Amino acid sequence: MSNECKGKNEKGGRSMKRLIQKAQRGNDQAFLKIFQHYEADLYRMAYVYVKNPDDALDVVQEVAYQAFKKIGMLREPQFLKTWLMKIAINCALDVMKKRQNVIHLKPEFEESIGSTETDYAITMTLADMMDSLHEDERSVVVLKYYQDYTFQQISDLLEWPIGTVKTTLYRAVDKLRREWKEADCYGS
Amino acid sequence: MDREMKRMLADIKIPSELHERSRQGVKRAKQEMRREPGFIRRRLMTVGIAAALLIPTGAFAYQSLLADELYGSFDEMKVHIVSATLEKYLLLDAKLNQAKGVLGEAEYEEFKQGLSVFTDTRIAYGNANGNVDYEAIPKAERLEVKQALSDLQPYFDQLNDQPAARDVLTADEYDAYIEALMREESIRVRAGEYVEDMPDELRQSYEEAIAIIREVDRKQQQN
Repeated sequence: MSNECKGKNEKGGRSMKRLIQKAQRGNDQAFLKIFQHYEADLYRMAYVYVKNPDDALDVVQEVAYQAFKKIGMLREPQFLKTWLMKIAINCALDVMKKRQNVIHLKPEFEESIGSTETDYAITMTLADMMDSLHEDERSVVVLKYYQDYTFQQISDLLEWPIGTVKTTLYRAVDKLRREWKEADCYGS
Repeated sequence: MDREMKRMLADIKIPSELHERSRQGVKRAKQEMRREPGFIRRRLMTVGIAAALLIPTGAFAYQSLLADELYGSFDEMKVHIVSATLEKYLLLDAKLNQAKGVLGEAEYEEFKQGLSVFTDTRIAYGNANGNVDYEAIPKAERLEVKQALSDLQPYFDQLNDQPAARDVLTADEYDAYIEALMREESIRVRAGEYVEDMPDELRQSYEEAIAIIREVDRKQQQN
């Protein structure tokens, strides 16, 4: 990394720290600036679980709400993203739990109020792949392959033993490989 | 796998209203926090009652606000405190009104008395944010303001519907708590608002003060 680049990164890190400190004192504008960096990732993370834009947006709104209320308790600002992810996973699981208690609309109604066609196509690809995974497996796959977390970080975030993280990931990857193989067969 | 996963997730379209939804979440949290006691106390005690005051312009000038009794003219306040907002002023005014209702007339007078010692010190010695370096003021005044703070804290606790710090702590612990509140503010005046910019010895002292304050918060919540 060049010195200039390093300097910029350090400066960026410092200004982020300042924003976090401001947010911890209740400054909502500072918090929103920070949150803006992560909201797209949080949305995608939520989407993997809830699989529709409306619920994923609800999750992000709830994460913003909970995180701003609790940011004063965040002791290690360098773990901010991990902390937000954790809140997002919990919120997404809550939405799913609630959804299980709701009687679903008939498919024809869902179509008329649901997402746009493009969204739907993406949902299908992703849902097909992810549907075969258990919620826990989904978390590990997304954190590992999309967020580039290490096993140790995933273990800290989900509060699981590191061995459990590894076996869950291997099991999930195995399932996904089989899915992809089948998809390839149909596709070709 | 890695690449596939990234591509797949990157394909999820980000809705245009995403940021607005984040904003709504924060807005709701902020509204609730205003009603929650813990936040009010921290703001009153450390960011500064004096910093919280101020500067209504024309439209409000005719109103007789309770806080006027404490601060005299706003022009005078403006000289000392520049980081003031109308919103914070009105918040304080509301708080004082609440104090009047909750505490009863006699107690309120006592509360206001203590508060005015506290804020007079800020007007006389406060920096641009209204914060005071208590180590840099005359000893007699430091003693007086410390006494005012010790006497005020139980009122804040009562207003915040929390057990009084004075009751959950021993006399020595309570003294250390008041000292910690003063030290935290003093260091911010000397070394700025940002912990990472503080010289090592001040940062250590600052963090010790914060640890004491948090411990007291924890004890109050447990009781």
